[in-house]
This record gives sequence, C-alpha cells and structure tokens, in this order.
Amino acid sequence: MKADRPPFAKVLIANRGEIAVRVIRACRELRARAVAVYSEVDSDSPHVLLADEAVCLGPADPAESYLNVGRIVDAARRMGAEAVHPGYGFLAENPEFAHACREAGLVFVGPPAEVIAALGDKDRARKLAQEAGVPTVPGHPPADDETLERAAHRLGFPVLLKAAAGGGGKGMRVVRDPQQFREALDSARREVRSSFGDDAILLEKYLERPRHVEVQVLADTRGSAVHLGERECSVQRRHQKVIEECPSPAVGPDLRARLCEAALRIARAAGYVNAGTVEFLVDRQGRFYFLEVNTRLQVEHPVTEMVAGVDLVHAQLRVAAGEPLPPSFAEVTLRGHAVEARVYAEDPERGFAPSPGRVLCLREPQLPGVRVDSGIRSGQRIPVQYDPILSKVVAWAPDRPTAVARLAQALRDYVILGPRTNLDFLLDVLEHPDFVAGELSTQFLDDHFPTWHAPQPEEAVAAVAAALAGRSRPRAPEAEVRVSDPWDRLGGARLP
Amino acid sequence: MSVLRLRCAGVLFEAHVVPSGRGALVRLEGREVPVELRDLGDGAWEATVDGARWLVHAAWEGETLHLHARGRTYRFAPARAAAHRLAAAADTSAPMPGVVTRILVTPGQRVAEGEALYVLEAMKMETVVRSPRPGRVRRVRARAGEQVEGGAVVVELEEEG
Repeated sequence: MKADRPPFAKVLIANRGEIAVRVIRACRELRARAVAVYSEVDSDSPHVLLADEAVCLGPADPAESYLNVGRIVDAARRMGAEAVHPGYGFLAENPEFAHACREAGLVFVGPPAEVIAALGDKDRARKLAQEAGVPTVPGHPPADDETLERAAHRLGFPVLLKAAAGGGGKGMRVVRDPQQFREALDSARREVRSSFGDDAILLEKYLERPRHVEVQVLADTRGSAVHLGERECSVQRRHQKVIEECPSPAVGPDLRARLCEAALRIARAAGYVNAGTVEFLVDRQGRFYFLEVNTRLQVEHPVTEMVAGVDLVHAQLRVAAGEPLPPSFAEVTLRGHAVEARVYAEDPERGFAPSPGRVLCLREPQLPGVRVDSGIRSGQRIPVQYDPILSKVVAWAPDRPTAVARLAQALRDYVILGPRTNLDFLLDVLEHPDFVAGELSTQFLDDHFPTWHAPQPEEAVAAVAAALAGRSRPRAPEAEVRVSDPWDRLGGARLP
Repeated sequence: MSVLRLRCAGVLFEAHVVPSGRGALVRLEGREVPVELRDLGDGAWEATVDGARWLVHAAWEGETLHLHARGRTYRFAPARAAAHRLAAAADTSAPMPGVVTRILVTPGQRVAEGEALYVLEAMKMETVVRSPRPGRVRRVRARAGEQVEGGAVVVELEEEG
C-alpha cells in the first residue's frame, strides 16, 4: 500500500455521527476528498462541518435519509464520488445498497453484494460455517410463529430470538419463560421491521454465561486474507456491546490460533473481501461456537487498531481500490492492551432510556494512549431519531490493568453536560472487581448491575452546586435555553 | 441569604447560601462550607472548597444545574420540580421523548401490576411501559403514531378500590 497515491479522488460517507467523522478523517489522511450526507436535523453536525462537501438527503426519518438507497446513490453520482463508505449500521450490511452502488459505477467499500447477502442471512451463514468445519450454536432458521414456538420447546428454554438480517442487537430477545415467547417474538419482529424492513427472526439455544469473542479479518480482491487477532466484547447490555478490548483476557496463544484459523476458514469459504468480523461465543471450557459475520467495519475496531498498529479504514479504502494487502499484515503482532468504552446519550438509572438533548458543555479527555472517536460538538442538539451513541473512548497501555485504569481516568476527565450519559455507569463497571480481574461473560451486566444508581454528591460537591446556584446565573448562550430564575428562592424561610 | 432546596441523585440538600466576596458561605446540614468561585469561561470554574481547589464544569438548563466535579456528573434540580416529576411517574408517564407506536389498553380496563400499557419507540429502541401497580385505566391521552415528550402522561390510572 503506497502512501503516495490516494486510493480514490473522492469518497462519499453514507453515515453520520462518530463513524462518519472517523471515516472522513481517514479520507483526508489519504488525500481523498470526503463527501458527507446528512438529514435535516443533522445540518450542523460535526461530520457535515468536517467534510469537503455535504449533501442534504432529506428529513430526519432514516427512511428519508440515511436508509434511502436511491438518494444516497444519486448524491454520490451527482458529487462525482468514486467510492461509497457505509460506516456501520444504516445501509452497511444491506446487499441492495452494495448492489445499487455497483450498478451506478461506484465502488462500495465493503464486500460484494452477494457476500453480504450470503453472510447477512444468518441461517445461510451458519450452514457455511458448518460446511467449513466450524461449530455453531444449535438453533432453528426463520419460520412462522407456530414453527418457531415448537422449535423453542424442542431446544429447551432459555432461547434467543435474533433478526435474520442486520446486527447491532436489534430484535434480540432472550426468552426464559415459554409463556412470554409470543409477546417477545411479536416485539422482536416489529423492532426488526422498523430497523431493517425485514421481520424474519431466527432462533438459537441460549448459552449461559459465554464470552463474546470476535476475530477481525481483512481480505483483498486477489484472494489474500489475514486476521488481526481477536477482541472480547462480553460486556453487553441487551446484546449491545458496551465495553470492548483487545486482546481477550481469556484467550491464550492456543485458543487464539484456533479461533483465528476458524475465522479465516469462514472468510475464505464465503469469498470474503475487505474488513469483516467473525463473531464467536466461547464457553467456560474454552469451546467456541460461530455466531455470525459482520460484513462491515465494527464500532469497536479502534481497539484492534491500537494493539495491531494498523488503520483499518485506510486498509478498507486501499483494498476497495484494488490494492493488495501488504505482506506486513500477515505478520502483525499484538502489542499491549486496548479497552474501549462506548459513550451513549442514555439514562442508566431509567432502564437506559435514550436521553436526547442539547450538549451544553463538552470537554474531551486528553491523556497519553487515549483516543476519542466522537461525533458531537458543544451546542449540538442530539437528535431523537438515531442511535444514541455519542463517542467512543479507547485507552491503550502495555498491559490490561494499566489500560483499564487509564480508560477510567479518561472517563473521569470527560465532561458532557446536557444529555444524560452512561459515563458514571461505565466508571462503575470498569472499577468492578470482576471486570478488573477479567472475569467476564455476556451476562456480566445482568449479574453485577441489575440496577444502578447515579453517584450521590459528597457534601463539598453539593456546596459548590449551591454556591453556583446562589449566584446570578450566566446569560443563556442560545435562544433555545429558557431564561428564567434558576432556583426556587425561599427568602430565608426554613421548610419542613 | 437565600435558602435553596436542591435534589440530586435522590438526595435532598437544603442549603443556606450567604454570598461573600467571590463565592458564598454555604451552610449544609448545620456545617458551614466556604466556597470560592472563579469563572474560567466555557463552563469551567475554579472552585475552592474548604481550602481545596477543584476544576469543575457547570451548565444551566432551565432550572437544572448540570455539574461535573471530581470525575463525576451531577444534576441538581430545585426540589419543587423534582416533586412534580415524582407525581407524574405514578401516572406511567413516557420515560423519554419518542413516538407511541401502540396503545395496549382501553379506558375502563383493569390492569395488573407489570401489565404492558403502551409501546414507545425512541432512537430505534422499543420500550414497553408497564403498569407500576394494579388499577383501572381512567384515560388514554395519546394515539398510536403520536410523538410525545419525556414525562408526558400517556395512560392515566386510577387506584383499584
């Protein structure tokens, strides 16, 4: 991969938020022009302000903007883009989108549409893994409600419902009580339909307390495929990853070799091209089961980048332009340890309800070995229409304990005032003795944080709050912030 | 002097605040805490509390003070507003702004504790709002497809006598 020649002259980034910002910066580094797309509520979002050019797709509704294949392809052609990077989520794993790009003469930065379709169909992906000699979790392919319910009884509860299309935990439900099977299935179908426009649901036996371990693979158009080690993403809430790390504290050299070899077998069997992730569940005995392939860049890709010393977005763009993987990629050594925390606009005290709102004050942590991938800016109103991820904080250190301590320090230094965030929750997770010991499972949060309460201020902090409140309030910086007397002053009267 | 009643993380603080110089003398639980404040701009303040110097960040939103201090984020709201929210919570209010996708009950219907009342969708997540107690549906105040604010009362319950 030569650093002197841009892989493309112009790339359209079909996404928003932190991942759009990340990809736009990578384009800049490679001297490719970056075209952002946005919906009406995102017109002054960071990804729009950062790009060389930007196109408004339409209203906030994802179907009218970030999920609208026709408008995005049209924008790419009109702007003269050569390639389209889909980021993650939205259309990243939609084979029709990859196909439409190709038909329009655009390079889709990802695998071919046929590969996305084959691996995105989780039932076909399971069969492909089995044929490649990789074990899978027992289950049942998508079917009507009655068939799935009978299959659930046959497999034995608990069972797991999963969307046949797409990822990101959408539509996932663990059903422990046979009585609640139909309600869970209905709800999963509705959620999946609104996210992916396809309500096919498949069934799997639910393994108790496995670890989620995944392997990063990268393949070029000339038949070379490499792995870049594993990540552990066991700390999940409702099947949404919250904290990820590389390498896994539970994977030694022998298991790593077998996992990575299995991942490469699946990638080769699928004719995989570009960056992808092969996900596994690993049980207490170190047995592993193929879960699925994510045919895109992962949210948690930075932990691999920091430990493997590669830039996956650069590699994606180079491979998409037809360049071969450099020989050095086959000999990547993992160095040190990286841990990532996803920062969400959500209220951990109220069932992690999304908490949109205006960012009133923002200060990002600046520490050695710390990387912040952020999609927000001060003054921005976080829209209600999209995923509540605000940013990711990644800490690298020579060893795991130092990386965990460094990430905690970075989260303590992170100031986000306005929307409620999960920052304090993340800190409590990072400081939990089992997390510190690397004792993880996909049940970690349910086991240790079934409920959580925001920290109570010590007296001195409350005194600062009272002193600030007792002052005349600073003028509201923007018209939307209501101007009124901040506190209910009670003129000296003591209240009961 | 003013008396402020602030609620944060479920704790009520009653503070007597006497402005003094660059800060205030704050009396909390009978203890006097001298606080000095220096505005550093962009929401940053230097706070000197009992002689210790901290960098804190503060922002106001309506009547709520958002405060980042000593690595943690706090919201201090006047106790009056907090009391209103608690009353609303008993009415199964929307936990967040979003779109009511389905109403699962009708007026007059008896519901058990934990029974699903309506479904709210926000940020691509479905939330089923359940009844906090047994009761009877008095009124349904939103239609399916309607966008509601966080805290909006969607289903009103009356106690089962």
